[in-house]
Amino acid sequence: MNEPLSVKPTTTKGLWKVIGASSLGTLIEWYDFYIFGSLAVIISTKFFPADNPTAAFLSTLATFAAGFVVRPFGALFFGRLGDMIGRKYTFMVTLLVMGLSTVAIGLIPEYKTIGFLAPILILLLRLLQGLALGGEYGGAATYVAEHAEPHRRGERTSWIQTTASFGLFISLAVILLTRKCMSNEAFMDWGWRIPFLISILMVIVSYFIRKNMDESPLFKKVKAEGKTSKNPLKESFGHRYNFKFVLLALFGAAMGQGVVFYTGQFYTLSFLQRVCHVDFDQTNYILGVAIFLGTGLFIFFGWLSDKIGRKIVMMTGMLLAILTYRPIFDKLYQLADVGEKKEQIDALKNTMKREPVPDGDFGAKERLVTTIHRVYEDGTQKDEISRQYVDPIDGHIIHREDVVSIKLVTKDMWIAIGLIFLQVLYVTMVYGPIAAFLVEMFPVKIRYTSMSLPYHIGNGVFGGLMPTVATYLVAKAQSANDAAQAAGKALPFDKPYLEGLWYPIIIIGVSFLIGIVYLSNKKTE
Amino acid sequence: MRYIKKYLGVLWIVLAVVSGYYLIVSQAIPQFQSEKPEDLVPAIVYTFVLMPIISGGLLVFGWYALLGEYDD
Repeated sequence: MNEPLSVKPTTTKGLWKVIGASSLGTLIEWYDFYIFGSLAVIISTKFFPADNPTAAFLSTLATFAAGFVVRPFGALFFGRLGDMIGRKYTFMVTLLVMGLSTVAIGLIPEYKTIGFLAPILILLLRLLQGLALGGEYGGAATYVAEHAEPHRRGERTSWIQTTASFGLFISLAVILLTRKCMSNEAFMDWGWRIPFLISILMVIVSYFIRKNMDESPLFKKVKAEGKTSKNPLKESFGHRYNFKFVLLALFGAAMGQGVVFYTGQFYTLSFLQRVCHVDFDQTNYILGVAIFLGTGLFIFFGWLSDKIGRKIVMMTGMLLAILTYRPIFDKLYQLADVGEKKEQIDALKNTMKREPVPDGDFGAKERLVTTIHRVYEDGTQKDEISRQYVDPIDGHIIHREDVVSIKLVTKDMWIAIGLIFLQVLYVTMVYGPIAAFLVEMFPVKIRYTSMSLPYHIGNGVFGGLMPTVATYLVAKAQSANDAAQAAGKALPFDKPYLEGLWYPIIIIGVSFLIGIVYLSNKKTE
Repeated sequence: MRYIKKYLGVLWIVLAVVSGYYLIVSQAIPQFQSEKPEDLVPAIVYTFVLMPIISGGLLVFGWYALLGEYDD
Protein backbone atom coordinates (compact mmCIF):
# COMPACT_ATOMS: atom_id res chain seq x y z
CA MET A 1 0.00 0.00 0.00
CA ASN A 2 2.99 2.32 0.18
CA GLU A 3 4.63 4.35 -2.52
CA PRO A 4 8.30 3.95 -3.54
CA LEU A 5 10.45 4.83 -0.59
CA SER A 6 13.33 6.69 -2.19
CA VAL A 7 13.34 9.68 -4.48
CA LYS A 8 17.05 10.16 -4.91
CA PRO A 9 19.55 7.71 -3.44
CA THR A 10 21.45 9.11 -0.46
CA THR A 11 25.22 8.59 -0.72
CA THR A 12 26.73 5.88 1.49
CA LYS A 13 28.56 8.50 3.55
CA GLY A 14 25.41 10.57 3.91
CA LEU A 15 23.43 7.50 4.89
CA TRP A 16 25.86 6.59 7.67
CA LYS A 17 25.55 10.14 8.99
CA VAL A 18 21.76 9.73 8.99
CA ILE A 19 21.99 6.36 10.75
CA GLY A 20 24.57 7.64 13.24
CA ALA A 21 22.66 10.81 14.14
CA SER A 22 19.34 9.01 14.46
CA SER A 23 20.70 6.05 16.43
CA LEU A 24 22.73 8.18 18.83
CA GLY A 25 19.72 10.31 19.73
CA THR A 26 17.47 7.29 20.17
CA LEU A 27 20.15 5.57 22.24
CA ILE A 28 20.27 8.57 24.57
CA GLU A 29 16.51 8.59 24.90
CA TRP A 30 16.47 4.92 25.91
CA TYR A 31 19.36 5.50 28.32
CA ASP A 32 17.47 8.38 29.93
CA PHE A 33 14.29 6.33 30.22
CA TYR A 34 16.03 3.26 31.70
CA ILE A 35 18.15 4.93 34.37
CA PHE A 36 14.95 6.02 36.09
CA GLY A 37 13.76 2.38 36.08
CA SER A 38 17.14 0.99 37.12
CA LEU A 39 17.39 3.46 40.03
CA ALA A 40 13.69 3.21 40.92
CA VAL A 41 14.39 1.75 44.37
CA ILE A 42 16.69 4.63 45.34
CA ILE A 43 14.42 7.24 43.77
CA SER A 44 11.47 5.93 45.75
CA THR A 45 13.35 6.31 49.04
CA LYS A 46 14.41 9.86 48.15
CA PHE A 47 11.15 11.14 46.68
CA PHE A 48 8.34 8.71 47.50
CA PRO A 49 8.69 7.61 51.14
CA ALA A 50 6.85 4.32 51.64
CA ASP A 51 5.28 5.38 54.95
CA ASN A 52 3.54 8.32 53.27
CA PRO A 53 0.33 7.32 51.41
CA THR A 54 0.21 10.41 49.15
CA ALA A 55 3.80 9.88 48.05
CA ALA A 56 3.05 6.20 47.40
CA PHE A 57 0.06 7.31 45.30
CA LEU A 58 2.26 9.66 43.23
CA SER A 59 4.82 6.87 42.82
CA THR A 60 2.22 4.48 41.40
CA LEU A 61 0.97 7.25 39.12
CA ALA A 62 4.51 7.79 37.80
CA THR A 63 4.93 4.07 37.07
CA PHE A 64 1.59 3.49 35.39
CA ALA A 65 1.08 6.80 33.63
CA ALA A 66 4.56 7.00 32.07
CA GLY A 67 4.29 3.56 30.48
CA PHE A 68 0.63 3.00 29.70
CA VAL A 69 -0.84 6.43 29.04
CA VAL A 70 1.83 8.93 28.15
CA ARG A 71 3.90 6.82 25.74
CA PRO A 72 1.02 6.12 23.32
CA PHE A 73 -0.13 9.74 23.77
CA GLY A 74 3.41 10.89 22.88
CA ALA A 75 3.24 8.67 19.79
CA LEU A 76 0.03 10.44 18.70
CA PHE A 77 1.17 13.95 19.61
CA PHE A 78 4.63 13.83 18.03
CA GLY A 79 3.54 11.50 15.21
CA ARG A 80 1.01 14.12 14.12
CA LEU A 81 3.65 16.85 14.26
CA GLY A 82 6.13 14.68 12.34
CA ASP A 83 3.63 14.06 9.55
CA MET A 84 2.66 17.72 9.35
CA ILE A 85 5.88 19.70 9.84
CA GLY A 86 8.62 17.13 9.31
CA ARG A 87 10.53 14.24 10.86
CA LYS A 88 13.74 16.09 11.63
CA TYR A 89 12.32 18.95 13.70
CA THR A 90 9.99 16.66 15.60
CA PHE A 91 12.63 14.22 16.75
CA MET A 92 14.90 17.09 17.73
CA VAL A 93 12.15 18.31 20.04
CA THR A 94 11.72 14.85 21.57
CA LEU A 95 15.48 14.65 22.17
CA LEU A 96 15.52 17.96 24.02
CA VAL A 97 12.41 17.19 26.06
CA MET A 98 13.86 13.87 27.16
CA GLY A 99 17.35 15.19 27.88
CA LEU A 100 16.25 18.22 29.86
CA SER A 101 13.74 16.17 31.88
CA THR A 102 16.45 13.66 32.76
CA VAL A 103 18.92 16.30 33.90
CA ALA A 104 16.20 18.01 35.93
CA ILE A 105 15.45 14.72 37.75
CA GLY A 106 19.11 14.66 38.79
CA LEU A 107 18.84 18.18 40.21
CA ILE A 108 15.61 18.05 42.22
CA PRO A 109 16.06 18.28 46.01
CA GLU A 110 14.80 15.35 48.04
CA TYR A 111 11.42 14.99 49.76
CA LYS A 112 12.98 15.72 53.15
CA THR A 113 14.19 19.11 51.80
CA ILE A 114 11.24 20.47 49.81
CA GLY A 115 8.39 18.14 50.83
CA PHE A 116 5.62 17.26 48.40
CA LEU A 117 6.97 19.47 45.66
CA ALA A 118 9.71 16.83 45.16
CA PRO A 119 7.49 13.85 44.20
CA ILE A 120 5.18 16.12 42.16
CA LEU A 121 8.14 17.45 40.13
CA ILE A 122 9.51 13.92 39.65
CA LEU A 123 6.11 12.74 38.46
CA LEU A 124 5.84 15.59 35.94
CA LEU A 125 9.35 14.98 34.63
CA ARG A 126 8.70 11.25 34.31
CA LEU A 127 5.57 12.01 32.31
CA LEU A 128 7.61 14.28 30.02
CA GLN A 129 10.11 11.43 29.56
CA GLY A 130 7.30 9.05 28.55
CA LEU A 131 5.89 11.65 26.15
CA ALA A 132 9.27 12.19 24.48
CA LEU A 133 9.96 8.46 24.19
CA GLY A 134 6.57 8.00 22.52
CA GLY A 135 7.57 10.48 19.83
CA GLU A 136 11.21 9.58 19.30
CA TYR A 137 11.22 6.05 17.93
CA GLY A 138 8.77 6.55 15.06
CA GLY A 139 10.66 9.65 13.94
CA ALA A 140 14.07 7.99 13.97
CA ALA A 141 12.86 4.80 12.24
CA THR A 142 10.95 6.73 9.58
CA TYR A 143 13.84 9.15 9.02
CA VAL A 144 16.36 6.33 8.43
CA ALA A 145 13.96 4.24 6.32
CA GLU A 146 13.16 7.19 4.07
CA HIS A 147 16.88 7.71 3.38
CA ALA A 148 17.73 4.01 2.95
CA GLU A 149 18.06 2.01 -0.28
CA PRO A 150 14.82 -0.01 -0.62
CA HIS A 151 16.61 -3.38 -0.80
CA ARG A 152 18.58 -2.70 2.41
CA ARG A 153 15.86 -1.06 4.51
CA GLY A 154 15.80 -3.86 7.11
CA GLU A 155 19.56 -3.70 7.61
CA ARG A 156 19.70 0.10 7.75
CA THR A 157 16.82 0.54 10.22
CA SER A 158 18.13 -2.29 12.42
CA TRP A 159 20.74 0.17 13.74
CA ILE A 160 17.87 2.06 15.34
CA GLN A 161 16.71 -1.25 16.82
CA THR A 162 20.01 -1.83 18.60
CA THR A 163 19.53 1.34 20.63
CA ALA A 164 16.79 0.03 22.94
CA SER A 165 18.97 -2.84 24.20
CA PHE A 166 22.21 -0.89 24.03
CA GLY A 167 20.62 2.00 25.95
CA LEU A 168 19.77 -0.48 28.71
CA PHE A 169 23.32 -1.84 28.60
CA ILE A 170 24.85 1.64 28.90
CA SER A 171 22.50 2.58 31.73
CA LEU A 172 23.52 -0.58 33.65
CA ALA A 173 27.20 0.07 32.91
CA VAL A 174 27.07 3.73 34.02
CA ILE A 175 25.26 2.81 37.24
CA LEU A 176 27.74 -0.01 38.00
CA LEU A 177 30.74 2.25 37.26
CA THR A 178 29.37 5.06 39.41
CA ARG A 179 28.80 2.60 42.27
CA LYS A 180 32.35 1.29 41.94
CA CYS A 181 33.83 4.80 42.05
CA MET A 182 32.43 5.67 45.47
CA SER A 183 31.26 4.17 48.73
CA ASN A 184 27.77 2.71 48.94
CA GLU A 185 26.80 5.51 51.35
CA ALA A 186 27.98 8.23 48.94
CA PHE A 187 26.12 6.58 46.06
CA MET A 188 22.93 6.38 48.08
CA ASP A 189 23.38 9.96 49.29
CA TRP A 190 24.25 11.86 46.08
CA GLY A 191 26.06 9.52 43.64
CA TRP A 192 22.78 8.23 42.12
CA ARG A 193 22.35 11.70 40.56
CA ILE A 194 25.45 11.31 38.34
CA PRO A 195 23.86 8.98 35.72
CA PHE A 196 21.06 11.56 35.29
CA LEU A 197 23.39 14.55 35.07
CA ILE A 198 25.83 13.11 32.51
CA SER A 199 22.93 12.75 30.11
CA ILE A 200 23.28 16.47 29.31
CA LEU A 201 26.65 15.90 27.62
CA MET A 202 25.22 13.22 25.34
CA VAL A 203 22.15 15.30 24.55
CA ILE A 204 24.22 18.36 23.55
CA VAL A 205 26.40 16.28 21.22
CA SER A 206 23.40 14.53 19.67
CA TYR A 207 21.44 17.78 19.29
CA PHE A 208 24.20 19.46 17.27
CA ILE A 209 24.70 16.38 15.08
CA ARG A 210 20.97 16.18 14.31
CA LYS A 211 20.70 19.93 13.81
CA ASN A 212 22.99 19.73 10.76
CA MET A 213 21.05 16.92 9.08
CA ASP A 214 18.62 17.42 6.19
CA GLU A 215 14.93 16.61 6.27
CA SER A 216 13.91 13.18 4.93
CA PRO A 217 13.94 13.32 1.08
CA LEU A 218 10.57 11.58 0.80
CA PHE A 219 8.91 13.95 3.24
CA LYS A 220 10.45 16.92 1.43
CA LYS A 221 9.03 15.62 -1.86
CA VAL A 222 5.56 15.08 -0.41
CA LYS A 223 5.67 18.53 1.17
CA ALA A 224 6.84 20.20 -2.04
CA GLU A 225 3.93 18.59 -3.90
CA GLY A 226 1.51 19.85 -1.24
CA LYS A 227 0.49 16.28 -0.39
CA THR A 228 1.16 16.28 3.36
CA SER A 229 -1.74 15.23 5.53
CA LYS A 230 -3.95 17.96 7.00
CA ASN A 231 -5.18 15.65 9.74
CA PRO A 232 -2.87 12.64 10.25
CA LEU A 233 -4.84 11.34 13.24
CA LYS A 234 -8.09 11.18 11.27
CA GLU A 235 -6.41 9.65 8.23
CA SER A 236 -4.54 7.07 10.34
CA PHE A 237 -7.32 5.94 12.65
CA GLY A 238 -10.53 7.35 11.20
CA HIS A 239 -10.38 5.59 7.84
CA ARG A 240 -11.03 1.87 7.85
CA TYR A 241 -8.52 1.15 5.07
CA ASN A 242 -5.59 2.43 7.15
CA PHE A 243 -6.96 1.54 10.57
CA LYS A 244 -7.18 -2.16 9.73
CA PHE A 245 -3.42 -2.11 9.03
CA VAL A 246 -2.78 -0.31 12.32
CA LEU A 247 -4.64 -3.14 14.12
CA LEU A 248 -2.78 -5.79 12.11
CA ALA A 249 0.59 -4.17 12.90
CA LEU A 250 -0.35 -4.09 16.58
CA PHE A 251 -1.76 -7.59 17.08
CA GLY A 252 0.25 -9.45 14.44
CA ALA A 253 3.69 -8.04 15.25
CA ALA A 254 4.17 -5.22 17.78
CA MET A 255 2.25 -6.96 20.59
CA GLY A 256 4.37 -10.15 20.42
CA GLN A 257 7.56 -8.19 19.83
CA GLY A 258 6.93 -5.96 22.87
CA VAL A 259 6.36 -8.95 25.15
CA VAL A 260 9.43 -10.85 23.85
CA PHE A 261 11.47 -7.68 24.45
CA TYR A 262 10.20 -7.13 28.01
CA THR A 263 10.44 -10.81 28.98
CA GLY A 264 13.95 -11.27 27.64
CA GLN A 265 15.40 -8.22 29.33
CA PHE A 266 13.26 -6.82 32.16
CA TYR A 267 11.37 -9.84 33.46
CA THR A 268 14.59 -11.86 33.42
CA LEU A 269 16.28 -9.21 35.56
CA SER A 270 13.35 -9.09 37.97
CA PHE A 271 13.14 -12.94 38.04
CA LEU A 272 16.83 -13.29 38.91
CA GLN A 273 16.67 -10.59 41.60
CA ARG A 274 13.29 -11.21 43.21
CA VAL A 275 12.53 -14.89 42.62
CA CYS A 276 16.04 -16.38 42.50
CA HIS A 277 17.52 -13.75 44.91
CA VAL A 278 20.73 -13.46 42.88
CA ASP A 279 23.04 -10.64 43.99
CA PHE A 280 22.06 -7.19 42.58
CA ASP A 281 25.41 -6.38 40.96
CA GLN A 282 25.81 -9.91 39.59
CA THR A 283 22.38 -9.86 37.90
CA ASN A 284 23.19 -6.52 36.26
CA TYR A 285 26.51 -7.95 35.10
CA ILE A 286 24.88 -11.12 33.71
CA LEU A 287 22.26 -9.14 31.80
CA GLY A 288 24.79 -6.56 30.62
CA VAL A 289 27.13 -9.22 29.16
CA ALA A 290 24.26 -11.10 27.46
CA ILE A 291 22.96 -7.88 25.86
CA PHE A 292 26.45 -6.83 24.80
CA LEU A 293 27.06 -10.20 23.13
CA GLY A 294 23.68 -10.14 21.41
CA THR A 295 23.56 -6.55 20.14
CA GLY A 296 25.22 -7.29 16.79
CA LEU A 297 22.45 -9.76 15.99
CA PHE A 298 19.94 -6.92 15.53
CA ILE A 299 21.89 -5.95 12.42
CA PHE A 300 22.16 -9.57 11.26
CA PHE A 301 18.41 -10.20 11.50
CA GLY A 302 17.61 -6.83 9.93
CA TRP A 303 19.87 -7.83 7.04
CA LEU A 304 18.37 -11.34 6.88
CA SER A 305 14.86 -9.87 6.71
CA ASP A 306 15.89 -8.03 3.53
CA LYS A 307 16.86 -11.39 2.03
CA ILE A 308 14.17 -13.83 3.19
CA GLY A 309 11.35 -11.55 4.41
CA ARG A 310 10.40 -9.82 7.66
CA LYS A 311 7.63 -12.22 8.61
CA ILE A 312 9.74 -15.40 8.60
CA VAL A 313 12.39 -13.85 10.85
CA MET A 314 9.96 -12.30 13.34
CA MET A 315 7.65 -15.32 13.55
CA THR A 316 10.59 -17.71 14.08
CA GLY A 317 11.72 -15.55 17.02
CA MET A 318 8.23 -15.63 18.53
CA LEU A 319 7.88 -19.40 18.07
CA LEU A 320 11.25 -20.11 19.70
CA ALA A 321 10.28 -17.89 22.64
CA ILE A 322 6.97 -19.71 23.16
CA LEU A 323 8.66 -23.12 23.06
CA THR A 324 11.66 -22.41 25.28
CA TYR A 325 10.66 -19.85 27.94
CA ARG A 326 9.65 -22.43 30.56
CA PRO A 327 12.82 -24.58 30.31
CA ILE A 328 15.03 -21.48 30.25
CA PHE A 329 13.48 -19.91 33.36
CA ASP A 330 13.38 -23.29 35.13
CA LYS A 331 17.12 -23.72 34.56
CA LEU A 332 17.78 -20.15 35.81
CA TYR A 333 15.86 -21.00 38.98
CA GLN A 334 17.79 -24.26 39.47
CA LEU A 335 21.13 -22.44 39.20
CA ALA A 336 20.33 -20.33 42.25
CA ASP A 337 18.36 -22.96 44.18
CA VAL A 338 20.54 -23.83 47.17
CA GLY A 339 17.95 -26.27 48.53
CA GLU A 340 19.59 -29.11 46.61
CA LYS A 341 23.18 -28.04 47.36
CA LYS A 342 25.32 -29.23 50.26
CA GLU A 343 26.45 -26.55 52.70
CA GLN A 344 30.02 -26.28 54.03
CA ILE A 345 29.22 -26.05 57.72
CA ASP A 346 32.70 -24.82 58.73
CA ALA A 347 32.32 -21.81 56.42
CA LEU A 348 29.20 -20.51 58.19
CA LYS A 349 29.62 -16.96 59.52
CA ASN A 350 27.31 -14.80 61.62
CA THR A 351 27.83 -11.07 62.04
CA MET A 352 25.81 -8.47 63.84
CA LYS A 353 26.30 -4.70 63.85
CA ARG A 354 24.47 -1.48 64.64
CA GLU A 355 24.53 1.26 62.02
CA PRO A 356 22.99 4.74 61.69
CA VAL A 357 19.93 5.27 59.45
CA PRO A 358 20.99 8.30 57.36
CA ASP A 359 17.54 9.19 55.97
CA GLY A 360 15.68 8.51 59.21
CA ASP A 361 13.51 5.88 57.49
CA PHE A 362 10.55 4.68 59.60
CA GLY A 363 11.46 7.33 62.20
CA ALA A 364 14.53 5.34 63.30
CA LYS A 365 18.02 6.70 63.92
CA GLU A 366 19.69 3.32 64.18
CA ARG A 367 19.24 -0.18 62.79
CA LEU A 368 20.51 -3.60 63.77
CA VAL A 369 21.96 -5.55 60.84
CA THR A 370 22.42 -9.32 61.17
CA THR A 371 24.13 -11.27 58.37
CA ILE A 372 24.34 -15.05 58.06
CA HIS A 373 26.89 -15.99 55.40
CA ARG A 374 26.68 -19.52 53.97
CA VAL A 375 28.95 -21.24 51.45
CA TYR A 376 28.00 -24.38 49.50
CA GLU A 377 30.28 -27.15 48.20
CA ASP A 378 30.08 -25.92 44.59
CA GLY A 379 31.16 -22.43 45.75
CA THR A 380 27.72 -20.74 45.69
CA GLN A 381 27.43 -18.13 48.47
CA LYS A 382 24.30 -17.02 50.24
CA ASP A 383 23.83 -14.03 52.56
CA GLU A 384 20.71 -13.77 54.71
CA ILE A 385 20.56 -10.16 55.85
CA SER A 386 18.08 -8.89 58.41
CA ARG A 387 17.74 -5.14 59.06
CA GLN A 388 15.79 -4.18 62.17
CA TYR A 389 14.96 -0.49 62.63
CA VAL A 390 15.09 0.54 66.28
CA ASP A 391 12.73 3.05 67.90
CA PRO A 392 14.91 5.92 69.23
CA ILE A 393 12.72 6.37 72.34
CA ASP A 394 11.99 2.94 73.76
CA GLY A 395 14.31 0.71 71.68
CA HIS A 396 11.65 -1.63 70.27
CA ILE A 397 11.79 -2.81 66.65
CA ILE A 398 9.67 -0.53 64.41
CA HIS A 399 10.32 -2.23 61.09
CA ARG A 400 12.16 -5.28 59.82
CA GLU A 401 13.52 -6.09 56.36
CA ASP A 402 14.83 -9.50 55.36
CA VAL A 403 16.97 -9.79 52.26
CA VAL A 404 18.50 -12.90 50.70
CA SER A 405 21.40 -12.47 48.29
CA ILE A 406 22.91 -15.39 46.37
CA LYS A 407 26.19 -15.17 44.50
CA LEU A 408 26.60 -17.72 41.71
CA VAL A 409 29.94 -19.36 40.97
CA THR A 410 31.64 -18.37 37.70
CA LYS A 411 30.50 -21.51 35.84
CA ASP A 412 26.84 -21.02 36.80
CA MET A 413 27.10 -17.31 36.04
CA TRP A 414 28.17 -18.12 32.47
CA ILE A 415 25.35 -20.63 32.12
CA ALA A 416 22.96 -17.84 33.21
CA ILE A 417 24.57 -15.49 30.67
CA GLY A 418 24.04 -18.17 27.99
CA LEU A 419 20.37 -18.61 28.93
CA ILE A 420 19.75 -14.87 28.83
CA PHE A 421 21.71 -14.58 25.60
CA LEU A 422 19.21 -17.04 24.08
CA GLN A 423 16.40 -14.70 25.07
CA VAL A 424 18.29 -11.71 23.67
CA LEU A 425 18.61 -13.73 20.45
CA TYR A 426 14.80 -13.97 20.28
CA VAL A 427 14.59 -10.23 21.00
CA THR A 428 16.90 -9.49 18.08
CA MET A 429 14.86 -11.74 15.76
CA VAL A 430 11.55 -10.02 16.47
CA TYR A 431 12.93 -6.53 17.04
CA GLY A 432 15.63 -6.27 14.34
CA PRO A 433 13.26 -6.17 11.33
CA ILE A 434 10.26 -4.44 12.93
CA ALA A 435 11.10 -0.82 12.07
CA ALA A 436 11.31 -1.67 8.35
CA PHE A 437 8.19 -3.82 8.69
CA LEU A 438 6.14 -0.98 10.24
CA VAL A 439 7.47 1.70 7.89
CA GLU A 440 6.51 -0.40 4.86
CA MET A 441 2.92 -0.79 6.05
CA PHE A 442 1.97 2.89 5.85
CA PRO A 443 2.14 5.72 3.28
CA VAL A 444 4.62 8.59 3.70
CA LYS A 445 2.08 11.27 4.58
CA ILE A 446 0.78 9.48 7.71
CA ARG A 447 3.67 7.11 8.38
CA TYR A 448 5.04 8.69 11.57
CA THR A 449 1.60 8.68 13.25
CA SER A 450 0.44 5.30 11.96
CA MET A 451 3.56 3.32 12.90
CA SER A 452 4.26 5.01 16.24
CA LEU A 453 0.97 4.09 17.90
CA PRO A 454 1.03 0.30 17.38
CA TYR A 455 4.70 0.22 18.32
CA HIS A 456 4.17 2.03 21.62
CA ILE A 457 0.99 0.14 22.49
CA GLY A 458 2.80 -3.13 21.74
CA ASN A 459 5.78 -2.19 23.89
CA GLY A 460 4.35 0.20 26.47
CA VAL A 461 1.02 -1.53 27.10
CA PHE A 462 1.50 -5.24 26.37
CA GLY A 463 5.19 -5.25 27.31
CA GLY A 464 4.67 -2.89 30.24
CA LEU A 465 1.92 -5.09 31.70
CA MET A 466 4.37 -8.01 31.90
CA PRO A 467 5.69 -7.43 35.48
CA THR A 468 2.25 -6.70 36.97
CA VAL A 469 0.48 -9.68 35.43
CA ALA A 470 3.40 -12.10 35.90
CA THR A 471 3.77 -11.14 39.57
CA TYR A 472 0.01 -11.58 40.04
CA LEU A 473 0.09 -15.07 38.47
CA VAL A 474 3.08 -16.18 40.55
CA ALA A 475 1.50 -14.84 43.78
CA LYS A 476 -1.80 -16.56 42.95
CA ALA A 477 -0.08 -19.91 42.33
CA GLN A 478 1.96 -19.54 45.51
CA SER A 479 -1.10 -18.79 47.65
CA ALA A 480 -2.95 -21.77 46.10
CA ASN A 481 0.02 -23.97 47.06
CA ASP A 482 0.12 -22.49 50.58
CA ALA A 483 -3.62 -23.10 51.04
CA ALA A 484 -3.31 -26.71 49.79
CA GLN A 485 -0.36 -27.33 52.07
CA ALA A 486 -2.25 -25.95 55.08
CA ALA A 487 -5.18 -28.23 54.23
CA GLY A 488 -2.89 -31.25 53.81
CA LYS A 489 -3.78 -31.63 50.12
CA ALA A 490 -1.53 -32.19 47.10
CA LEU A 491 0.05 -28.99 45.76
CA PRO A 492 -1.78 -27.74 42.63
CA PHE A 493 1.35 -26.13 41.15
CA ASP A 494 4.57 -28.08 40.77
CA LYS A 495 6.63 -24.98 39.95
CA PRO A 496 4.71 -21.84 41.01
CA TYR A 497 7.66 -19.60 40.11
CA LEU A 498 7.07 -20.41 36.42
CA GLU A 499 3.37 -19.48 36.42
CA GLY A 500 4.11 -15.84 35.49
CA LEU A 501 5.35 -17.08 32.12
CA TRP A 502 1.82 -17.88 30.98
CA TYR A 503 1.35 -14.18 30.24
CA PRO A 504 4.16 -13.93 27.64
CA ILE A 505 3.44 -17.41 26.27
CA ILE A 506 -0.24 -16.62 25.63
CA ILE A 507 0.29 -13.08 24.31
CA ILE A 508 3.14 -14.11 22.02
CA GLY A 509 1.10 -17.16 20.95
CA VAL A 510 -1.83 -14.95 19.90
CA SER A 511 0.48 -12.55 18.08
CA PHE A 512 2.23 -15.47 16.35
CA LEU A 513 -1.07 -16.95 15.16
CA ILE A 514 -2.31 -13.58 13.86
CA GLY A 515 1.04 -12.90 12.21
CA ILE A 516 1.23 -16.31 10.54
CA VAL A 517 -2.31 -16.15 9.18
CA TYR A 518 -2.72 -12.48 8.24
CA LEU A 519 0.73 -11.03 7.45
CA SER A 520 2.44 -11.41 4.11
CA ASN A 521 6.14 -12.20 4.01
CA LYS A 522 7.21 -8.93 2.43
CA LYS A 523 10.74 -8.73 1.08
CA THR A 524 12.26 -5.52 -0.15
CA GLU A 525 11.58 -4.88 -3.80
CA MET B 1 -6.76 -19.42 3.57
CA ARG B 2 -9.42 -16.79 2.95
CA TYR B 3 -11.95 -18.75 5.04
CA ILE B 4 -9.45 -19.31 7.83
CA LYS B 5 -8.71 -15.57 7.97
CA LYS B 6 -12.40 -14.78 8.00
CA TYR B 7 -13.66 -17.27 10.56
CA LEU B 8 -10.74 -16.81 12.94
CA GLY B 9 -12.42 -13.43 13.48
CA VAL B 10 -14.77 -15.22 15.88
CA LEU B 11 -11.78 -16.32 17.97
CA TRP B 12 -10.47 -12.74 18.20
CA ILE B 13 -13.89 -11.50 19.31
CA VAL B 14 -14.04 -14.22 21.99
CA LEU B 15 -10.52 -13.28 23.10
CA ALA B 16 -11.60 -9.63 23.30
CA VAL B 17 -14.42 -10.57 25.68
CA VAL B 18 -12.16 -12.86 27.79
CA SER B 19 -9.41 -10.23 28.08
CA GLY B 20 -11.99 -7.57 29.01
CA TYR B 21 -13.39 -9.85 31.71
CA TYR B 22 -9.90 -10.57 33.05
CA LEU B 23 -8.87 -6.91 33.14
CA ILE B 24 -12.04 -5.77 34.87
CA VAL B 25 -12.92 -8.67 37.17
CA SER B 26 -9.45 -9.96 38.11
CA GLN B 27 -7.51 -6.71 38.05
CA ALA B 28 -9.62 -3.53 38.19
CA ILE B 29 -12.47 -4.43 40.59
CA PRO B 30 -10.23 -5.80 43.42
CA GLN B 31 -8.13 -2.63 43.15
CA PHE B 32 -11.20 -0.35 43.15
CA GLN B 33 -12.26 -2.16 46.35
CA SER B 34 -8.83 -1.80 47.95
CA GLU B 35 -8.42 0.65 50.80
CA LYS B 36 -4.99 1.80 49.61
CA PRO B 37 -5.29 5.08 47.67
CA GLU B 38 -2.44 4.12 45.30
CA ASP B 39 -4.48 1.11 44.04
CA LEU B 40 -6.95 3.54 42.47
CA VAL B 41 -4.46 4.49 39.74
CA PRO B 42 -4.03 1.00 38.21
CA ALA B 43 -7.76 0.38 38.59
CA ILE B 44 -8.56 3.50 36.52
CA VAL B 45 -5.83 2.68 33.99
CA TYR B 46 -7.13 -0.90 33.58
CA THR B 47 -10.73 0.25 33.12
CA PHE B 48 -10.39 3.37 31.00
CA VAL B 49 -7.12 2.86 29.12
CA LEU B 50 -6.11 -0.79 28.84
CA MET B 51 -9.56 -2.36 28.48
CA PRO B 52 -10.60 -0.13 25.55
CA ILE B 53 -7.22 -0.57 23.83
CA ILE B 54 -6.83 -4.33 24.30
CA SER B 55 -10.41 -5.60 24.23
CA GLY B 56 -11.76 -2.86 21.96
CA GLY B 57 -8.86 -3.27 19.53
CA LEU B 58 -9.22 -7.07 19.39
CA LEU B 59 -12.98 -6.74 18.96
CA VAL B 60 -12.63 -4.41 15.95
CA PHE B 61 -9.84 -6.59 14.53
CA GLY B 62 -12.05 -9.68 14.81
CA TRP B 63 -14.96 -7.82 13.26
CA TYR B 64 -12.84 -6.62 10.32
CA ALA B 65 -11.59 -10.19 9.84
CA LEU B 66 -15.17 -11.48 9.75
CA LEU B 67 -16.07 -8.84 7.17
CA GLY B 68 -13.23 -10.10 4.98
CA GLU B 69 -11.11 -6.93 5.25
CA TYR B 70 -7.92 -9.01 5.47
CA ASP B 71 -8.75 -11.39 2.62
CA ASP B 72 -6.15 -9.91 0.25
